[in-house]
Amino acid sequence: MPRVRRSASSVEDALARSISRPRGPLLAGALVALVILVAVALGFVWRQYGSAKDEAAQGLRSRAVLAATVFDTYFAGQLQALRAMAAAPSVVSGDRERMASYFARFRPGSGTSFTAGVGWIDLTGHQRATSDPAGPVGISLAGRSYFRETLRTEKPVVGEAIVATRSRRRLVVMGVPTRDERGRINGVLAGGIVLQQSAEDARTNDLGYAGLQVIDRAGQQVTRRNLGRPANTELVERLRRAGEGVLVDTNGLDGASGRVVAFATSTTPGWLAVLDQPTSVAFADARHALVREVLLVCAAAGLLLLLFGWAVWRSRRDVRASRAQVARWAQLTQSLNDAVDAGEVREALIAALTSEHPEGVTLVGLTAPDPSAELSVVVRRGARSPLGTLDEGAAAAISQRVADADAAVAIERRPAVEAGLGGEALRTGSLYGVPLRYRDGRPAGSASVAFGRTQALGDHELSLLRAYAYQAEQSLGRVRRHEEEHDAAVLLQQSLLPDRLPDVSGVGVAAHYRAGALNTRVGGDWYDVVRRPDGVLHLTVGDVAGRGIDAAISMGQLRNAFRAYALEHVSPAAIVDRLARHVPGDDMATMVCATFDPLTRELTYATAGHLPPLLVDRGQRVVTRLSASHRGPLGWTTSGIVRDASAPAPGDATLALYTDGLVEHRDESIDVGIERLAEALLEFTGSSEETADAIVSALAPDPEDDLALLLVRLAEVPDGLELEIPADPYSVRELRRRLHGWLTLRGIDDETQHAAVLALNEACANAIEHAYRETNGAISIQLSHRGDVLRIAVEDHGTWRQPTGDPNRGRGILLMKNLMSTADIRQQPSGTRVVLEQKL
Amino acid sequence: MTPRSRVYRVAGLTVAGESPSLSFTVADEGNGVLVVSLGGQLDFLSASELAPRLADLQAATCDAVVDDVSGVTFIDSTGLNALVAGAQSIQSRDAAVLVAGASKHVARVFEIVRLGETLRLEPTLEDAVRAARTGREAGG
Repeated sequence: MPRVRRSASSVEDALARSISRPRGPLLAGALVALVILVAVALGFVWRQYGSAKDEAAQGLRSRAVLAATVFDTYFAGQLQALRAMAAAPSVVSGDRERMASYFARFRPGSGTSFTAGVGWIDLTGHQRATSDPAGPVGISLAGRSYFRETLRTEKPVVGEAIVATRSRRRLVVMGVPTRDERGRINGVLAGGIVLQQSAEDARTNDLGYAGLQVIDRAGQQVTRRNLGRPANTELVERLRRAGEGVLVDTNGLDGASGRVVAFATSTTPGWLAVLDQPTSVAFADARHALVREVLLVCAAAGLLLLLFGWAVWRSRRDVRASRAQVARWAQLTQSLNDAVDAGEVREALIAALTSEHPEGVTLVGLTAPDPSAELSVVVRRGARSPLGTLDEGAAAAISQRVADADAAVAIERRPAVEAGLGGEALRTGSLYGVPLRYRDGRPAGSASVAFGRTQALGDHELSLLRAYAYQAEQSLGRVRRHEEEHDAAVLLQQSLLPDRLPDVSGVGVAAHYRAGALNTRVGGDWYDVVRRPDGVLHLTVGDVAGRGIDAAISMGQLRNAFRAYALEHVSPAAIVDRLARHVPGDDMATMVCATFDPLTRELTYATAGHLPPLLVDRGQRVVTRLSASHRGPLGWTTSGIVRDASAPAPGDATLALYTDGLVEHRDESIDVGIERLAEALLEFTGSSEETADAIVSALAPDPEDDLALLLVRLAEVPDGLELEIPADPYSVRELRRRLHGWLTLRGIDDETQHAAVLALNEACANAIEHAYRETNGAISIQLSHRGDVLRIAVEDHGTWRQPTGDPNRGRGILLMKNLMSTADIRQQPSGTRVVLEQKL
Repeated sequence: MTPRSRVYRVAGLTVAGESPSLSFTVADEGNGVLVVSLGGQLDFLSASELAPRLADLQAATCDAVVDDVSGVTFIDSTGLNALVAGAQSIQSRDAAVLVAGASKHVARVFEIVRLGETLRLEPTLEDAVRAARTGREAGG
């Protein structure tokens, strides 16, 4: 199977690049550019506004000029007409009658343009003829300005506006000099026109003549009914001096501020045409244009901003997505690093893939270490997946197919259909799978993601999928190597621990041992039970500091030493003391040794740095910590001297020896753990095996820590026992003591006890004296107390010599025969067997 | 097989010694009567110690020896044999040997092996001492 090379680093680089791209300056630059653009546009608009205002002002000015021109033309025409009239023969003749009849043609209302009529004034200033039939003749008009000015200048003159004394109408009177036949000035022909008040209507406004004011030579405001003078005389002076122009943002004729004043002088009547408009009116169009343009710019800027914001949002979203991806990547790497077995690697990979593809279904199948085994597949639906879960068969088949695929990424469209599977969800969708391989090319399984769509992943996602798979492969390799090492250590450790515990009548012994989980390497916990030939039980639990194969080897050595010393010594303190010599100074081990004699129910113990054994009295429901005999850990200190401590074993007792794995928990005092164990020991009442298993699963369900628990049920006094003692007087003396203890516990009366003990003693003494006179041997003893028969059988493997003539000889046999109901001594080729029986 | 400790104190005629589980004291009661007080277990182990001690008593000139076994908790055939051997060697000098203060269980052993006159049992030490004196006077 060719190895498909994948690189995780390229993905990480891409992720890092997408994150580290500098977005801040870009953003600021774009914003500044936008602001500048808007500023320039607004500046342009403002300038436009300025010129529009100028244009409007100049327009106003031209209108003023036009008005002035119109006035000029009009008055010039009027003066022309008046001059023509002055040249009329009737006027030249100076005949009042003829003049009157001539003037009658110019009666007001007759269609003449001199709406106020015409009249002739002689050099004295008296009006001598008039067009008005009712007009006053002979009145003096010598004070009138038009009269005086005309005579002074000898030229046509337009006078200032006046208010007619009678009609109260506003009039403008103009005069031309009249000459007689000889060309001498003989009077003044005056013609008046009535000023019509033309209301400012929509039309004048439309034409831009709103606010048109006319000021005559005398400074009177002709357009005002009472010919009042404008309040702002200063302005009038200024206008008159300038003659023509436009003033922007000045005070108006009435003194109000914020006015645009356009003006032009009409020379003939000496009138000033003034267009006095509030700025708002004068520049209304410019303003409207300004508002329009500003709105346009703002709209454009807003649109740009919107576009920009959208781009930023898109980019932010991408950044967030990239960050999430990096976070997932980090999470996966972390989880994979922490993973201690293949299951955790798979869980990490599944978690990463489902979080990466919430709309898909993730399948991860791993090959078991056993090469013949099939894939074990776990299927997980993504949070937003439209697909239902796959049935197991389909999942297994798909995973297997991907695992066998010879491609970096196997892409399948409609995988269920193509495979002829019942995976309904995958009839229309697609599947992307990566085969997993160990470094040596062996198949490790596969990781796949299935989607409801036909096309779900792009190149980026595919390379990510490959990268995830690559990471998982690395971890799988590491975990498998770890598992193999662990298995080897466990195998070694278990080969060093007892295969089975001795079967002792009246004593139920059970052990629960756990080597520890993967992330903790196997520990150096040990336990053992030795049943000595003399029936005494040595029980031990210990813990060698350290882990792994070294600890397992140390543990094996200590246990072997323990077995040797256990046969040699009855005292647990002696055993502990001798074992201390087997632990070098730089190592450390803790242990407890408890010794139980089923005959006498004597319980002694010694501990070295170890947790105290617990003695449970079921009857009284009391748990005692056996902590009277204690020294430091083995190897820690050599100076510790430990003495046996004894504890009375109650009728229904259980002794528990254990290692800290059972009672030690993080964030908790070890005392709490011991207390919990004590409670559990009282609670569980099954056999020792059941109790041990129940306690371990209740107290230490987490298989992380290694632990050993040895339970000894000291339920009853045995009704019989087979044992073997060395053939020496000390051992016999000890046996006498123990037999007394047993018989007492069995309720045998004092006399029978003494008889039985003496009889046993005689049998043993004979074996020592006769069978093993020169050799070391062993004496086998069978005790039984069943029904009403106490039976003691003593057997040796030597030959008793026949009693000689010595009368002292034979007293032992005599005693046996007299003390017991029967004493049967049988010589056999293999040795001598004495059976003593007492009917009770 | 060596005893764990062995301390002899010699003061006049009083010899005291310890052997495994056996205490051994000799006291002169006057009038030629020696009282040997035994205590502990008289078994295969202590018997081998007892026999030579009893034999040593031959050196002492006395008319009677009383074995006070009130302190003996256990006696078996080997212990008995040691006592008998000691008694026989004393008796060979014409001194009487009596056993006093045997407990029920010890007495039963004596009873079974029927030692008769070789080792006469007296209930108490006083009885034995009196009987020894009487016997000596009678014999003398």
